[in-house]
Order: sequence, then structure tokens, then C-alpha cells
Amino acid sequence: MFIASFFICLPGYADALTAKQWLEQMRHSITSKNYDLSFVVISENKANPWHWLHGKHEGQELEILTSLNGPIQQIVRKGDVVTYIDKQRSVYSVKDSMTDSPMPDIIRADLKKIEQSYTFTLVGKSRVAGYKTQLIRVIPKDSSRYAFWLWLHVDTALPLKTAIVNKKGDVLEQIQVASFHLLEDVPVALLDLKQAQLPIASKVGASTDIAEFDWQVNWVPNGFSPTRINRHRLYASQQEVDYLMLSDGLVWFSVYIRKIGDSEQLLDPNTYLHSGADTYLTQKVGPFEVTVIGEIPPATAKRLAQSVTIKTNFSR
Amino acid sequence: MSQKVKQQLSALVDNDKVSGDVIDKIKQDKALSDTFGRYNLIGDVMRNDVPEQIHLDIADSIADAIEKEPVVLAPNREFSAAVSEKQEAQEETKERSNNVVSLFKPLMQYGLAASFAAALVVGFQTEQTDTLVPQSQLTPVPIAGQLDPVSIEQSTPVMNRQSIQEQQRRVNSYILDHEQQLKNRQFASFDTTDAEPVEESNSTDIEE
Repeated sequence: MFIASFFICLPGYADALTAKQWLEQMRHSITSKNYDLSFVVISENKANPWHWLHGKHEGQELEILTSLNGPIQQIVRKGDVVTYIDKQRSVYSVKDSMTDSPMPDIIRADLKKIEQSYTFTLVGKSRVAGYKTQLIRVIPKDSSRYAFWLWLHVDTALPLKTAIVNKKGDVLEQIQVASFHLLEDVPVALLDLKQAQLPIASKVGASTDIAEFDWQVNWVPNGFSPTRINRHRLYASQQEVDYLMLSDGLVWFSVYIRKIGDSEQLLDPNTYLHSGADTYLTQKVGPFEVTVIGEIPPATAKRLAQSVTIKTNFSR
Repeated sequence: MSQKVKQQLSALVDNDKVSGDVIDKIKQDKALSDTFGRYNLIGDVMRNDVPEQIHLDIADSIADAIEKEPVVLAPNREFSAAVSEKQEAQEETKERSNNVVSLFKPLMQYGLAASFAAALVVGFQTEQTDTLVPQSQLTPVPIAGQLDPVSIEQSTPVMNRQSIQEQQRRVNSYILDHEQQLKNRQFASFDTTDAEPVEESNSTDIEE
């Protein structure tokens, strides 16, 4: 990464970088530089503008992402603690976590892990947000997931445009930077953040052993592995569900499995929704109601849901 | 009025020397006095020195016409300035509320921020009939306001209102939980002794 940043400082050498080095440089810049970005998330026929202020002060990362339309939503980073401020929900802090921000997860993801399921390809250069950019495509090795395109600023490798693309080449969701400023110093608003009182970071409950559950998922797209397994109650309905989160290092999606009670009468067990790159699917599979939610193609969600079966030799 | 008097009048307006009797004549002669006034005004206009109100004998009908002139809706500078001041003030308050520190007020515990969840609710509520026509293909549902359009596929041919609402509740609670789970993607997992219920969260972990 250090070498990459050294090379990129010298005009001309940037051409020698591989796609992976570009992505490494992007991650380095995103976490270390001071910048002020405005971008728009475009999904279906909806555009959501955001403002992104980032700085590094005395070795600590400081960051504020603010939604500009509708009710205020903020994502605040202070070192390794991320706080979510949403007027419609509770204020909430998490330590050492992936930021759930409107930017795609690839900006902070582990490239080594991603490499197992995706290839990184250098494409051409083009002008985006008034700057010269290098297009990098992160292409899945199979069709069970979406591709990610990134247009990186040639001088800093900061993303100025990103897109989630399905296998047909349709853009499902994109992010377009509208204004972009590299800053010499950490902005005052971020220094104020250092003084701000944020809620204490909560810790996430440990995963339960998969052997505790009486179901099994027989098909998972290649490269996806469980990052969390537990049983919890849905906050809104207090419904108890078994929960499985799967990730390939770039995409995280949820699988909920609930055993349908013997006397329970389901009016309509099957639901299927999609919005931009998001898929929502609920299906009755054997004795279970399986729900899959996340940025995966509907076909993948369906195949996974239908692969859920009761464990044949389940015993406690 | 003789041409000579007019010349002298003009000279008077221009502060040139005139014979003393001209002033007397102006005092006595109404027509001459009016002319003097007009000449003065012309001079004022030429020197860009117009009084705030010009009392010309504009016919009442013209004044009426001006009165009845439709109001121009394009804001003038003063108006725009006043508005932008107001906006700035609003933005200031907004900025203040943007401040992280001041945001920790009692917040609604449960809202429908979930994009497509909310969209689903609205999409169904706009339906006037008690039953939904079966939709074998993905059909975009037009959504009012800020919400995402969603595509809905119903697997059963007819649904009544009760089951639609039931479905909405179910979809919403799952999506809210999924969003919460995405916020909890920790790099390193904590061991069980460290685990505690997530603060004000959607989920209560049940250890068995």
C-alpha cells in the first residue's frame, strides 16, 4: 500500500498500477485523507444526496456522513466507533465494525477475501465530477452476485462514482459525486466531533453454534460464509427467528428462518420485493418460513431459500 | 410666452445670470411658473437628481391604470434578500440541530425508514379495492412522495386487506431487523462472556 501511494504521487506511474493496487490505494486514501465530498445515491427513480466529511487527526479517523433530503440521518465515525443517528430510530454506536453507509462496502472491505469471489479489472479512463478517473470493475466469478464498478480519482484513488451492475449490464444503483474537495487540514466540524458525547458502543452478542438449530441451508453461493448465527426476536413484531448472516467479503445479506407452528395459519407466506440492488424474499419452505434480504440477485435469494431443509438427524 | 422669456427662464434654471425682472415675472405668471418647474425637473433628471416623488400632472386614468397593473411576481432584490435571510436563519437552526451533541433527544423508537418497506405500505394503502388483482409479472407500483418504487409479485391470486396488512407488518419487521444487523458487522467477534444485550436495539440475543 505504501508503494502504491508512492507511485501514485508520480504522474505517469499511475498507469503502471494494477486494478488491485488501485483498490488498495482507494482504501488507503479513504481512511487517511481529509476530504469534503457531496454525492447522490441513485436507485430506481430516486436520488438521495449525502454530504461526506472525513479527516484524520492525531491518528484518529473522524467522519460525518449526513443525508441531505428528508429526515436527518447521520453516520458519525470517531476512531473505531461508528454512531448512527436517525431521527426515526434510536441513536446507536458500534465499535470495530463495517460502516453501514450509503457508499458500497467495497471501500473498506478486505481485498484478500473479495479476491476469492471476484476479479479486479482495469478499464478505461474517463472524466467524472470534473476530474480524470480510472474505471475499475469488480466482477463476480459466478452469476450469483452483482458486479461493482468504481471510478477512482487518478490522483488520490478516491471514488467519484460507483455502480452496482447485474449480469445483463443493467445499472441497479449508482453513486455519483457532485462536488469533491481535498482539504489541507481537518475541517473544524470534525474537530468538534472529538468533543462530542456519543453513546457508548454496544457489543454484539456472540454467535450461537449452528449445531443448535434444527435447520440446514444446503446451498450457499460460492465464497459466502456465515458471519453471524443466532436466535433473536425481531424488535418490531417480537417474533422469534433464527438468524444467519452470510458474506463473501463484499456483500452481506440476511437469512431468517422461522418454524411455522402447527396451528398457525399463514395467509400468504410468499413475498418478493426488490428495490435498486436490494432483494426481499419470503418463502414457505417445508416446515419453515425463510426470508432472505440483501444486495443479491433475486435468483440467488430464491435458490438459497429453497435449499433450506430440516436437519435429518437433529438431536440436542 | 415669448421666446426671449423662455430663454431667460432656461438660463435661470442653469444658474446663469438673468435680468432681475424674470424672477418677478415667474412669480406672477402661472404658465411661466409651471414652465420653470418643468425646466427644473428636466435639469434634475439630466443631473440624475430626481426627487423621490415627482408631482407631475399625470392623468388620474394613468395612475389608475398603474394601480390596476397586475402584480409582478418576480421578487425584487429587497424581497429576495429578506427571503434569503430567512433561509439562512433556517439553515442555521438546521445546522444547530445537525450538531451531534444536541441530537440526543428522545427519539422515536420505531419508524419506517426502511426504503422499500415503507414503499410497500404506501403502495398497498393506495389500493382502493379490498382485493388485489393477481400479478404474475413484476409490476412497478407507483409511489407518492419520497419513497422507492417497488415491484411486487403475489404468489396467491387474491389477498384480502387483513392479509395485506399482516404481510406489511412482517416485511417491515424483517427489513428493520436486517438494517440493524448491517450496522453490527463487527470485524472481531467478542467472546460470550463479553456479550451483552445491544443497547436500545431491535434484537435481543437469546443464548441457549
